Amino acid sequence: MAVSSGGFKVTPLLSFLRKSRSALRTLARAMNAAAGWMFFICAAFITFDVLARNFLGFSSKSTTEVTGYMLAFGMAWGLAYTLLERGHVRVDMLVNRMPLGIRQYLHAVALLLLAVFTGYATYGAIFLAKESFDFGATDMSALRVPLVVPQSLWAFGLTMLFVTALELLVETLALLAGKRFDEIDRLVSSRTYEDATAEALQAVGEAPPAELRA
Amino acid sequence: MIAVVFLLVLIGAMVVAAMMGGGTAQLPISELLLLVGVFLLFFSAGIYIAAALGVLALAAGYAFSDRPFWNFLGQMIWGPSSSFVLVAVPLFLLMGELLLRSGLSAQLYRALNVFLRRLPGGLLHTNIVSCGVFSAIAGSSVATAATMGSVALPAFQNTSYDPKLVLGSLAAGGALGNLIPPGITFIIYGLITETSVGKLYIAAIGPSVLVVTLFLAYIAWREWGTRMAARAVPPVTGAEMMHALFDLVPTTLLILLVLGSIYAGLATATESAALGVIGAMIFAAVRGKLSVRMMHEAAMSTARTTAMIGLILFGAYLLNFILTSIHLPQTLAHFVGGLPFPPWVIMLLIIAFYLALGTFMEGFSMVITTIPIVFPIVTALGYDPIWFGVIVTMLVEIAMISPPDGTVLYVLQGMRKDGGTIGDVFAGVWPFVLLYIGAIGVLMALPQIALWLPRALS
Repeated sequence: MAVSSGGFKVTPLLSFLRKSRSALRTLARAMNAAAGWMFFICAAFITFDVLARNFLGFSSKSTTEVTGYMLAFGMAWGLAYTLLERGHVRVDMLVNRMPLGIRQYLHAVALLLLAVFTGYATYGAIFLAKESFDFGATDMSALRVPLVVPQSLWAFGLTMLFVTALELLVETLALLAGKRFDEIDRLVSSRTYEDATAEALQAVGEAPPAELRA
Repeated sequence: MIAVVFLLVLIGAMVVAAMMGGGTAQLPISELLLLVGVFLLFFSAGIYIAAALGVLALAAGYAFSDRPFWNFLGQMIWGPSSSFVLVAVPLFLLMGELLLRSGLSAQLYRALNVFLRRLPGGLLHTNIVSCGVFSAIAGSSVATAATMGSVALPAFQNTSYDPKLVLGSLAAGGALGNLIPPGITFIIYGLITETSVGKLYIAAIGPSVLVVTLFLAYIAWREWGTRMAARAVPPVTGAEMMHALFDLVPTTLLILLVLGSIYAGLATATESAALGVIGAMIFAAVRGKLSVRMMHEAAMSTARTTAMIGLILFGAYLLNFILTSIHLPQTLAHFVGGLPFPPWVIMLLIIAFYLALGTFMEGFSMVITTIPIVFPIVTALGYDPIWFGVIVTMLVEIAMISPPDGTVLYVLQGMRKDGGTIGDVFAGVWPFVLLYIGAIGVLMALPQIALWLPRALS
């Protein structure tokens, strides 16, 4: 069924957007997994360095820098998936008490500002990586890591967040045009304590109580 | 809602004080009001906190800076992104996620109960201590309330314990997690204010002991007397005690590994967090819970929380850069320092401000957003940065269990099966909230409780 509003049909557009979101989600999920596993590597690397320094008398002499790059990678590559999982913090005390009709516009404004902010941040990150490349900048550690390597990976994570924020914004606007308000809520409203509780219980292998199940 | 009104009154009072010329410095009132106004608008509209901070920074940049500041944005957020201090955050998170999935909660509760059940208040002490220990290593108050609630609430079914006290003690115990080292709030505070995370962890020992003692004493006082006899508590047998001790060995080893390495000066907080991850993997492997799937879940969850904290840090660092370049924090600190009040009055106002803010703002966001502005004021007033770090962490914890908005309370309510109302949880937690606030009062009067140990050790 085609929902028309203001003279144009939103349904074909929406189905295209939904497909792009699902593609973005697959990529973002893989990136989030890479970010998470990077922290295991990071822990192993630091542990090895601590043990080697204390018991074998040598050190890579670049732990501080290299683990910093691992953090930058891990932090940036999880950003987009966290947005899709509604994990970025919003103060929603007032929003959730507003009628659905007003709330939807606030969701759109929130996404618009997020897109503006991440757009600038992404520009800054790419600019920084390019500058490091142009000047052939390396760090001060024993490894002399060219800064462009970790900075490009990091900038890619931010770019992914920017693209995801844009996609969500366009989809929200399309849903607004089609007056499909409740779908917007499902797309962008913050994670609730019910979500957090259910997840913690699932982690310890317990079934969440009925009233907390979505 | 009361909190919001209170915050507005507080800001209003500050503006009035500024207009009366109370300070020696000229305060940029219109800019400050604009800033606060836009902030309130953004927050009430449900804008992402990071975006609110970031867009505000961009607006301030265009308004006040004559340099092409957008070309420095990358450098500003690369700093926190690649900070060795901050590496400790995902590693401690990862350690907590691994332990959460390794069946630690039930084992901890059972073992501690063997030692604590004979005290007046029995199982309630177990609630406080096991929640405290678990939240200290799991790092999340919500996860603690959910998992310990799932273990503890069934243990109280068909007992004569007051349900209010049961729920209150579970909430209170869960709110100890960030205060008892190694908490993540301390790392973020240390990063923003450039104080030593290791020293913060040492300073937190005294206050942790103080709060736990107050909680346990309150329970013992409430439960003293007849009810003890009414509950047929089985005596503890030697075999049972040996078994419980054996169960506690891995947890104790892990705590020794993580905290011991920091306290003994063998490792930085980041290094001990890395050791903690490896230790937690061994712990899970011994219990037969370590698998690729389990590690993958822990990794996914860790990456998500790290990204959440990271994005807010990006926004805060941008804003802080712009604000510092127009000297706002310095001017504000100078102005507040010149007010004709003794420092403790201003400190009380700051504490009240955090208590109010905490009722509707998530803990990490609250610290990241406010500390860049509040910290210069606090140091200008002559307070110790380490001491203030402990106070802020305690305030964050109080926020999580304060009725009517504290998240932990709703988690516990959701876990209940006895059909009571949320009013029971509120009533049960109030005494603990007041004790916690009381502990802050004690720390204001006797800052040595926090500061003696770090000074003695350095």
